[in-house]
Amino acid sequence: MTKQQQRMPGSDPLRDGAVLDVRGLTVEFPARGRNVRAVDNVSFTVGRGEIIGLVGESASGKSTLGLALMRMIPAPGVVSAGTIAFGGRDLASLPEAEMRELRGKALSLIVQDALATMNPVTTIEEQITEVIRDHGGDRSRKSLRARATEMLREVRLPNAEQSLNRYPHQLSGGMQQRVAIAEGLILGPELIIADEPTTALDVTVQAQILALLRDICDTRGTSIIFVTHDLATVAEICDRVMVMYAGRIVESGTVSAVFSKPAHPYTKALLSGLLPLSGEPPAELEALPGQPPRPDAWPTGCRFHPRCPLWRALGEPEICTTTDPEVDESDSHWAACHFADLEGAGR
Amino acid sequence: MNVVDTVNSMKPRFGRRTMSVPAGGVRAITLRAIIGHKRALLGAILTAVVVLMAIVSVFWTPFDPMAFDTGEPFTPPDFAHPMGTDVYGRDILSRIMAGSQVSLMVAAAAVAGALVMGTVIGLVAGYIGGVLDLAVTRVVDILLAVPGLVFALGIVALLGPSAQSVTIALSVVYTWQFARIVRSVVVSVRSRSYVEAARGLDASPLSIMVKDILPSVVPILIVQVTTALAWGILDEASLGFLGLGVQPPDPSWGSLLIEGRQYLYDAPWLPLGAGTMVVIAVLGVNLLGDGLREIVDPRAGRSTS
Amino acid sequence: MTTPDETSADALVPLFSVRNVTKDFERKRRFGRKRGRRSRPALDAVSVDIYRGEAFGIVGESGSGKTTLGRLLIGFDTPTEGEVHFEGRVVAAMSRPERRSFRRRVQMVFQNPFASLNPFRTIRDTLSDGYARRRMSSAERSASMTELLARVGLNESMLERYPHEFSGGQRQRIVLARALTVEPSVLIADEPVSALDVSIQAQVLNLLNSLKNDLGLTVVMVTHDLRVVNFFCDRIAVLYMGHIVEVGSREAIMNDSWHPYTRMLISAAPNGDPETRSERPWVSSELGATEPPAEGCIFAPRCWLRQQLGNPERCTIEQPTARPILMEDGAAHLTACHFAEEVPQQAKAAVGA
Repeated sequence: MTKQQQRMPGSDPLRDGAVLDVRGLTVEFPARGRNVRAVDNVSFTVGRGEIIGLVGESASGKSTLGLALMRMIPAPGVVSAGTIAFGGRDLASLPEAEMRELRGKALSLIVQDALATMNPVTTIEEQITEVIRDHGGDRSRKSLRARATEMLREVRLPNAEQSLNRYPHQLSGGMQQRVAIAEGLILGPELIIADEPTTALDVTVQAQILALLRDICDTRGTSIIFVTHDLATVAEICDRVMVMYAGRIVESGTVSAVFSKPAHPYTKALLSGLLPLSGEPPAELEALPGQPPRPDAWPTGCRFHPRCPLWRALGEPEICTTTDPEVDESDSHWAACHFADLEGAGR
Repeated sequence: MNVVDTVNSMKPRFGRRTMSVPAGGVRAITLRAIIGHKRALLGAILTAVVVLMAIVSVFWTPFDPMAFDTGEPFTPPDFAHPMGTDVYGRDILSRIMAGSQVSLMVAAAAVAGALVMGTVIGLVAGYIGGVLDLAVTRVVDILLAVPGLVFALGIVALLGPSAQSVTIALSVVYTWQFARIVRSVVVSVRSRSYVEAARGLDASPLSIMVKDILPSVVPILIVQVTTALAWGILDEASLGFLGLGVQPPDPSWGSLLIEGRQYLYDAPWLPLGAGTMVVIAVLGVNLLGDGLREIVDPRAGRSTS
Repeated sequence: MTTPDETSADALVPLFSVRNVTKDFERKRRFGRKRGRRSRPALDAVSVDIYRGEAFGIVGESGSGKTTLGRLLIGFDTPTEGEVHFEGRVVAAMSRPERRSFRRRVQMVFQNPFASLNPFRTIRDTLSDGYARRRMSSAERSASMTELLARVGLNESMLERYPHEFSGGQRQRIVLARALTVEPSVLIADEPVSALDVSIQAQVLNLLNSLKNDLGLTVVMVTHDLRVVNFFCDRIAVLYMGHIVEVGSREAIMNDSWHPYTRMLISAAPNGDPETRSERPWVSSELGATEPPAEGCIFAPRCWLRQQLGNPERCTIEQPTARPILMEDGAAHLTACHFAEEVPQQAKAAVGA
């Protein structure tokens, strides 16, 4: 992967207890002779044992951001700016060989479609032990098997020992996802990037997987970046949440702060779109007009303004169409909106 | 690949990959697209040369292709006879040109017949299904187990050797290949939501077959037509070579090959011209078909990632 | 054909009546014996009534048979056993003209808006299917199309375009417009919004709601999304492994269900409130037995109520049939649990414990 490396001048030193410190991360894809920014100047930190939710709609850049952290952006996309401080190193400029060593070991990726990531003709045992062998770990078959069994027990796969001899398609969706999590965990990574890990699962299975992930963070001190479109699961397991829209983070804060006092009109809309599970439903839903923009056609200024109910209510102020809202890089509750204070919540 | 594709391809929602819309389709076949595609362009040029030669030969050939003693027998290629003359002193270039009419007509007519019959059989069997489908697939299985040329030989033997017999025989052989391919596409398209929606709107089966199913078959048909044309030219030559095609003294590429065989060591230029024409025609049509397939379905050309 | 006397009774006569329907996809083999043991049918002796003008939700997890039930209603599949009645006529045994009229009165909205429009046809061409059997001049047809597009929030400039030029939400609007071309009275919507972005879901749900109200449509919504069901539906049927476990009003099902599975299902969904994260003592952490038991209640192996009641024998011997529960407001409520009356109290106890 070729990259034009551009260090952020005076980027913050790694904070105390932070596992990951991302500053000014930008991901570009060439499109029709110019570069479009799928992820644009994103900064955040992830603390130890913390689950941080990354929420957005399609094309918001949330999955691209997740892949960028793994340095797995598909060509011709590149991380064109920013730093990813992780374990005393900058992942954005790390040589590919060293990055390969880190993947799976220090940080791992769990995706929505677990089955697609597994080799259909190798057993669960081989899938899991391969991860260890790839990273030059213990090579005796017996001890590898013992480790795999232990790991499957930890993710509470029923009949762990027997399951080792089965093939991926013989397991249910929930069990496949557990195996994928086991694979992601077996080398004891500090950070897991989980991209919609429960979206394809039934709610009863989802509840179990969410509880498992929460448990892993609490007991092992693993941090998770939980990429999802579903605010309800964020409320369920995340400590903090970042809302992404059109390649940028538009609001960030603790889950309780963001859910109780959303400051950005987009977050508000998402939360009002979270229909009640019981009780009297609203007669009509507040629907945002239009649709999420595409990376090759980001609106100018605040990228949310064409769909923004607040912008319209304020008489379409010019600043929203011309000036990017200020981005706060702190870990406190903030929103990238010129009129966030008017909303009553503010910073 | 633009960025939207990239982002989309990275992120299928709800585990089900959203069907990517064919960016190509039959409408993608334009002159510009062919010119922009190296292989398609080369194929188109070669094919055009062969077709042009056949058309020209209707009005003009250097000599009368049937006339004896246009020069000395067994004249090697020279200025007057660019491809030499045969045992009777007939001009070989003229005979190749005249022969191309027969060869191309037989191949084209056979493929056209097979295209129509095979598409109808495949569409109906695949869409209606049931016993009809079972019967058709069994017949196809059996017929495809017999080598096409052998099967065609049998039919020609039955009808008596002539250009018409060869056309009919090849048409019958190719029909089942078309039917099989069309049917397989129809079966996969039949259960798509938009076909079910059309059924739900009480659209007639004919309308569903023509409007909703046929367009999905067309890209594959285009490829199959070109492949079949290439085979048609080869098979016609083969049957001609076996003496079952056009009868002497009428020229065709196949009959020119068999005439040349006897004197291969003395006058190697005799079969060379017809052989070269077969190669050019088959290569051209195949390249064109390959190119068209990639133009129609842009994904086909990419790696399997 | 309805006389004035009948119209008053209309609301009481079900529009759809599903009677004891079993659907088994396993084909009978022509040659040789069947391999392995008998598989579980997709639907097993399902009975349910759907009334005119209501929004009826069919809810279940994957493998519950909810999609199969939807397809049986619209006549895309026929039951292996039992009957589906539409306005008193058996769908599978309709005469040709009856089937014609049935086809047009019952329309389907599909889950994946990317697969439900023919990529090779313009929107005008796609919509024209529904007009093929209606006697209309081309001017009338054009006017009708324009009106329909306006109704679903699109405009006529889009008629000459192809599906790939539209976003998911717009396509779902086109799909709705296509269904409306034949002026149906019933829409069967299979996960109509689950493939859409969150902010687009609200648009489409609002549209469905207004279509239902303005046109007096009966809507059957097949979905796994409990939030969507709670917003949209008047009555709900809950399916589990091919069985209907509970049918009742939205309030009764979503707020105070009488079946242990329904309770478990609803509690499993994240409640969306970070302050009171969902308490769900009854979601078993063991995935284990996904194979249904050969006898007794199909839910027994995962049932928290059964455990709480000390594993009564009845659950593993006798298969419960849907029986009415006497509701305070007199509404009809069916549940297939031997110990349904225990559910509210035991649920409280389980959360408290």
